[in-house]
Amino acid sequence: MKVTIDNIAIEVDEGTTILEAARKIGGKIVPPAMCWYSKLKGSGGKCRTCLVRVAQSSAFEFFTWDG
Amino acid sequence: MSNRIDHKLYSKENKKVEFSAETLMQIRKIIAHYPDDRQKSALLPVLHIAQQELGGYLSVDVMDYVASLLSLEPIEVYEVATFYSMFFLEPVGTFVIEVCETGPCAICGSDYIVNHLEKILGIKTGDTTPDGLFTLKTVECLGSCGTAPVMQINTVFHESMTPEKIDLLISELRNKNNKPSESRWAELF
Amino acid sequence: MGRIILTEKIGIPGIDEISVYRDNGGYSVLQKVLKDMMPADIVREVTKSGLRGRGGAGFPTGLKWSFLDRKTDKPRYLVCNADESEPGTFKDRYLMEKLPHLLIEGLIISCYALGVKTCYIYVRGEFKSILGILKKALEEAYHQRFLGTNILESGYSLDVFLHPGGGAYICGEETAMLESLEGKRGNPRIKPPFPAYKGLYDCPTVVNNVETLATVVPIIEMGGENYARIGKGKSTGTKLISACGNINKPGVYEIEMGLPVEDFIYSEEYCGGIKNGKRLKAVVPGGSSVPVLPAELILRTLKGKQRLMTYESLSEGGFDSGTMLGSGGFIVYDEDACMVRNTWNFTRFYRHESCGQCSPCREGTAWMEPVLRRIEHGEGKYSDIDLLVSIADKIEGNTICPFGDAAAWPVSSAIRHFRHEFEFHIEHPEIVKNTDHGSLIEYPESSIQYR
Repeated sequence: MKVTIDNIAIEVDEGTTILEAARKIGGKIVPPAMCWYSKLKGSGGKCRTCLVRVAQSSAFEFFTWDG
Repeated sequence: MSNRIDHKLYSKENKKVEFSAETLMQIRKIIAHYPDDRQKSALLPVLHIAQQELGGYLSVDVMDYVASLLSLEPIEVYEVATFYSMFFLEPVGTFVIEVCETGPCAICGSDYIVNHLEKILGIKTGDTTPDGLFTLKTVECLGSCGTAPVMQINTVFHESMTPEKIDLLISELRNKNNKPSESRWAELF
Repeated sequence: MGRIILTEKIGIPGIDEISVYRDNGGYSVLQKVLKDMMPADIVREVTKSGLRGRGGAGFPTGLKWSFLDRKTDKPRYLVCNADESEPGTFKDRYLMEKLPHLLIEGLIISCYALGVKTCYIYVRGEFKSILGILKKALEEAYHQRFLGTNILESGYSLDVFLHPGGGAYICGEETAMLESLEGKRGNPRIKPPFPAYKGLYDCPTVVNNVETLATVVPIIEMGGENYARIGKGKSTGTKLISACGNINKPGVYEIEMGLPVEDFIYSEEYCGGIKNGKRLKAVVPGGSSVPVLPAELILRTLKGKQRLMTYESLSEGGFDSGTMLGSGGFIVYDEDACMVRNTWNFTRFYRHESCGQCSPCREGTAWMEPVLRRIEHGEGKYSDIDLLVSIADKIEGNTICPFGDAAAWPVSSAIRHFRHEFEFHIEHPEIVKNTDHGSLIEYPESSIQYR
C-alpha cells in the first residue's frame, strides 16, 4: 500500500510501522528512536522520541502508532 | 550470582535472614489473595513486612530472601524496592521523621518545621543522629493537607505541627528508647 | 445550604462500626439490590444519575462501566483507587476513616453490577492507620455475611482484599496502579488497549475512585433520576471538596454542585474566608495538576459570569482563563504567597514523582525544576520565562499518561496569569533572595479588588 511521508511516497506491506517506512526512505525524515529493539517483543513506543504528526488518517490505519 | 553489578548500595553481607513462623503463615495467607501463579503481586505487602521486621531497612540479603520466598529473580525485587519511596535501602534510625514539603503544607509553614527539627536534632535533612535514634527526611504530599503542616514518624501521622508540639514529641520519643509501638504490617492485609 | 448525601451519617458516634451503621440504615441498599435488582439495572441507574469519576478525570462512570468486556471467559476485576496522593486532596482519607462501611457497601453493589468476583482496594502505603480501619471493617462485613461466598443467600460471591502502595503518586493513574498491583514498578501502560479490555493480569478491569464507589449507595437508594436532579447541568449530585491553604476553616466539605465559588471561599458555612483578614490572590480548585487562577478569574469568568463549583463552569474559558474541577483539592493562596515559589514547589513534586518512562516528562520536569529554582533564588534570566513556556508546551500531549500534562499545566498557567511575578523575581534579585517577598510584588491596576 502507498504511504506518503513529508511528500515522499513509498510502497510498504501491511503491518509496517511508520518508523520502518521512514527508515526505508532514509535521510533527514527518519525520526529518532531510543527504546525500540527489534529482537525484544513489546519494546518501542515508550520513550516518545519517535512521535510524528499524522496528516491524513486513511494512510495509518494499517500502521501501529508506536513509531 | 554472576553478572551482578557491584554498587556500594548493593553490598551483600551474606547474613542469614528469616521471617518468624507466625509471619510466614500470615504471608502465605496474603499470597492466597492473588490468583494462583501471580504471587508476584504479594511483593509490595511482603516488602513492607520485611522492612518492619527484618532490621528497619531492606538490605540486599533481605531482598534476596524475599525473592526466594516468592520465587522471583532478585532483580525483580530490586527494581520495585528502588522505585517506591517508602522503602529504605540504607540503615535508618529508630524513628524516621518525614516532613511533608509539597504545596499546601509549604504555604502553611513546613519550612519552619524542617528548620526547627534540624536545629533541635542537630542534623541536616537526609541524615541520622549520631545516637541512631532519629532520621530526618522530607517527603511529598502525605494526603492530609487540611491539617498542615504534617509529618509522619514511622507512618504514624502527626498533624498541625508547631515548634512547641515538636519539642514535646521529640522529648517523649527520646524517653521511649525502644522500638515505637505501632501496628504490624503483617496483620493489615 | 446544599443537600448532604454522602456524609449525612458522619456525625453519628461509632458509625465506623457495622452495628451502628446497620442501625442507621446501612447495608439495607445492598439487601434491596441483591433481592430485587439485576446487574444491568444498577448500571442503568448509575448511567442515569450522571455520576462522573470523582478522582480527577470526571469521566462518566456509567459509560466506563459499559466498556467492560463481558464476552470473555476471563475473570473480571474491580480495583478501588484509594491512592490519594494529589497535593491538596484529602477527601478519600476522610471518607475511609469515618465511613468505611459506606465504601464497602458501594464496592459490593458495584461488583455485583459488573459481575466481579474479586476486588482489590489499593490504599497508599502512608495510610497505614486507614488500612487498619478498613481491615477491621472488612472483617466485620465478612462476619455478617455481606462478603464471601453466597452473600445473603443470593448466590453471589465476592472477595475483597487490601493491597498497599509504596509511596508513589504515579500509582494513582489507573494503568500504573494495575502494574503496581501485579508487583512491578508503577509504570503506566500505553492505551489502547484499555483496562476494560486488558487490565489486571490481562483481564477486563474497572478502576474507580473511593468517592465514586461510595456514591453508588445513595444513587441506588434514591434512584438515578433523582440523583441527577441535584446539582447543575451535567455536574450532578454532590462532591466532597477538601479545602486547604490560607483559610480559616480548612477541611472536607460536601457541596452540592453549582455552589458559587465565592460562597464556598467566604461563607462561614464552608471555608470561612481568608486567614488573618488577608486578601485572596489565587486558587487551585482541583489539586496541583489543574491550572492556577488569580482571584478575579476564579470568582468570575472572563465574561463576567459568576463561577460555580461544577465541571463546566470551572472549565469555561479553556486554559486561557479557566481551570478544572479535578479531584476537588481546593488550595487557597492569600496575598503573601509567592506564586513562583509555589510553582517551583509543584514542579519539584512532579520531578520527584515522575516514573521516568517517557522522555518529555522525565527530561521536561528535570529541566523545569532547576530553572524555577534559579528564578526563585534570584538568579533568573528573562529568557527563562519563555524557556519554561516552551518546555511545558513540548510536554503536553506527548506523554504516555496524563502525568506529563499535569506537570506542565501549573507552570504554563502560572506564567500566563502571574507573569509580573516572574519578571519581578528577575528584576529584583536582592529583594527576592533576602525577604519573604510574597506581598511585595506590585500588582497591575485591574486585579485583586476582592476582599
